[in-house]
Amino acid sequence: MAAKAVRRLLSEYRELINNETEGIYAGPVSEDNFMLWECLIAGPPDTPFEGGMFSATLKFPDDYPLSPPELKFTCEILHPNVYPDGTVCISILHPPGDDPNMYESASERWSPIQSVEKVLLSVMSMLAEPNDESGANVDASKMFREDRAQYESIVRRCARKSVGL
Amino acid sequence: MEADFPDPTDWIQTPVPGLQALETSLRCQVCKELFTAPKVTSCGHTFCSLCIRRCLSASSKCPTCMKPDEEPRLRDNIVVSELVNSFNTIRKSLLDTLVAKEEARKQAEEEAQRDSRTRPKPEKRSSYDLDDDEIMEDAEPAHRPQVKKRRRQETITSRKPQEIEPPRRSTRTSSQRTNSRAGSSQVISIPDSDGDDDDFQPIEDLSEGEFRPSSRSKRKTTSRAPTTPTKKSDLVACPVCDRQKEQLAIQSHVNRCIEGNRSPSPSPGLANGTSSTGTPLKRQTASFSNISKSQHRAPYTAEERERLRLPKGNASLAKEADIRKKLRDHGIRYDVKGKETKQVLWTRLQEWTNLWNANLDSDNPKLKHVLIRELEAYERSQATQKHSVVQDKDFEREVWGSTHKPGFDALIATARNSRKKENGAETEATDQPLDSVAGAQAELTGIDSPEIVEA
Repeated sequence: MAAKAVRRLLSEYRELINNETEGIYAGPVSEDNFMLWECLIAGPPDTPFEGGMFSATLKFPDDYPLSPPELKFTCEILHPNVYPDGTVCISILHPPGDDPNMYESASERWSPIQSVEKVLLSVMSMLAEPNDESGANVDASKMFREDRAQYESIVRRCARKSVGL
Repeated sequence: MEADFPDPTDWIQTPVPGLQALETSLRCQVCKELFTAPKVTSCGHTFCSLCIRRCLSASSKCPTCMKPDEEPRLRDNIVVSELVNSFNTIRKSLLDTLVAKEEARKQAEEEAQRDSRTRPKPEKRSSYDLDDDEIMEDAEPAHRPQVKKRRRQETITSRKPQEIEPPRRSTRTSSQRTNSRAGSSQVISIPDSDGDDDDFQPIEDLSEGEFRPSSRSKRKTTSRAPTTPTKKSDLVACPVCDRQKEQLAIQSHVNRCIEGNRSPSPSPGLANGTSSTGTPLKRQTASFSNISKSQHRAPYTAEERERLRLPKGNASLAKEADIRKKLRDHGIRYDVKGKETKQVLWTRLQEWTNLWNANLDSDNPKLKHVLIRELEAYERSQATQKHSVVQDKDFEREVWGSTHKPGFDALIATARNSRKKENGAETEATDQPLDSVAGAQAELTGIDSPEIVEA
C-alpha cells in the first residue's frame, strides 16, 4: 500500500468522523486495507430518492490523490448516470486527462485537492439532478426523458428497498 | 495512532474551535499534511514542493484552479513556511493547554453544580468563574475552589509552598497583573512573572531572615527593575504562554504551562511581538533535529539549489539510452538487461527529479541514499497497481496451470507409457516440452536434461 495515500485517507477519514456531513457516511472496510471504503449516501430530499440509503464502495488507486477513486453502488439503483453494474459516471471521478464524453469542462473533473466528502456530495447532487445527456444507463436515460412517472416509481421502489422495506 | 497523527479536527473539542480553520489553511490540500517546503504556483495556490511537482508531472495544471502551470514557475512561499514552522512548534503545547483548560472548566462546572445542589454558596461559585476566566487577583484562600487546589498539588509539587501561603500569591498576581496592564516592555516583566518557583528558592536563601511577605515583595521590586540587560540573550519565549523566560528555566516553565493549571494569559502586547519571540525557538528546534537525525544534511543554499536543480525534460524527446545514462549517473537502480520499457524508466527518472528537486527546497534535506531508498519505496508502493495490468497474464497463467494440472499429468503419463512401449530414445524429444511445462523434469531420467538444454 502506498504510505502517502494511506496517510491522506486516514486524514480524510478523521475529518469525516469529526466533521460529520449530513447524509454521508464513509469509512474503510477494514483497518488493514485503507484503500477500500464503503459508504452510505442518503437520497436527497424532495426527490424520488428521498428516504433511501444507498450503499456503495470506494476503491482508491495507489497513486491517490493523483488519480481519482472508483465509486460503485452495491445496491439496486436506477439512474441515468449509473451503469447497470453500479459504477458511477460523474465528472468529478474522471481524471482531467481523459474526457470520454467530450463535454466536461476540466474544472469539474478530478483533481488531487478533491476529497471523499466532495465526491460523495457530488454523487448526492447527481442523484437529485440526473444528466440525461451523457447516459451511462441508456434505458434509464430514456425512461427519465420519456416516462418520468415510471422512472420515479422505480426509483422510489429502489429507495425503499435500500432501507430494507 | 491518535498521538502521531495530528489533525485539524483536534481543535473542535477545545474552547477555540476556530483553530481548525487556521490549521486547515496551513495544510497542503493534496497530502493534507502541514506544508513541507511550500511552493506557490503562478496562479497563487500553495502546495508542498513534492506534492505540486508530482501533480504537475501527472498533468500540467494547478490542482486547485486547473490553470496550466509549469514547474520552473514555482516559487518559494517563505511566509507560509515560517507560519508552519512556528505553528508546528507550539501546536502540541497549545492543544494540551486548551484541552486541559476545557477539562478544568467542565470539572469546575460539575463541581459547581454539585455544590449548588447540596449547599448553595453563590460567592464560592463566582470566585470559580472568575478564576476560570484567569482573573485571579481576588483569590482568597477560603474562596479558592477545592478541585483546583487539589489538582495543582497533585501535578506540581514545586508549587506546594505557595499554596500553603496564599496571601503572598495574591500580591504576586496582582502586581503581575498591573504590570501587564501597564503594557511595560516584555523583558522587564519577564524574569519574575509567575511560576518562577525554581528561581525562588535561591533568592530566598539570600534574603536576610525577614518574614516572608515583605521579603517577597522586596524581591519583586528588585527583579522587576530593568537590571537584566545581560540576561536578554539567554531569554527564550515560552511556546505556551509566549512569555520570555530564562533558557535554563524554560523547561520547567513549559512543563508547568502545559499542565494548564495556571493558564497564564499572554498580554496582547506580547502576542504582537511574535516575530522577535518566534525566531529563537525555531532556531532551537532546527538545531535539535539536525543533531538527532544523521540521515539529513544542512539546508541547501540558494546558490546550491540553483546549481543542483534537475531539469524536467521531455518524454517524447528523451532517448532511452539517455534516460539510462541519467539514472546511472544518479546512482539509481535499473534493469541492465533492458527489460524495462522506456515508459517505466522515464517514470522513474521523473519521480527522482521530483524527489530531488523537492528535497532541495526542504528545510531539513535528506541525504542522497535516503532519497534513493524513498524512490524505491515509492515505486514499490505504486507497483501493485501499475503491474496489475501486466501481471494479469502471469496471474492467469498460474491459475490456468493449476486448474489444468490433471490434463498435463495425463499427457505426461501417456507420453511415458508410449515411451516405455517404444523403448527408444527417438520419442523423448516430443515428450520434453510437455514435461517442462508441467515442471516434472525431476522425474525424468538423466538422459533428458542435456536434451532440454539443447532444445
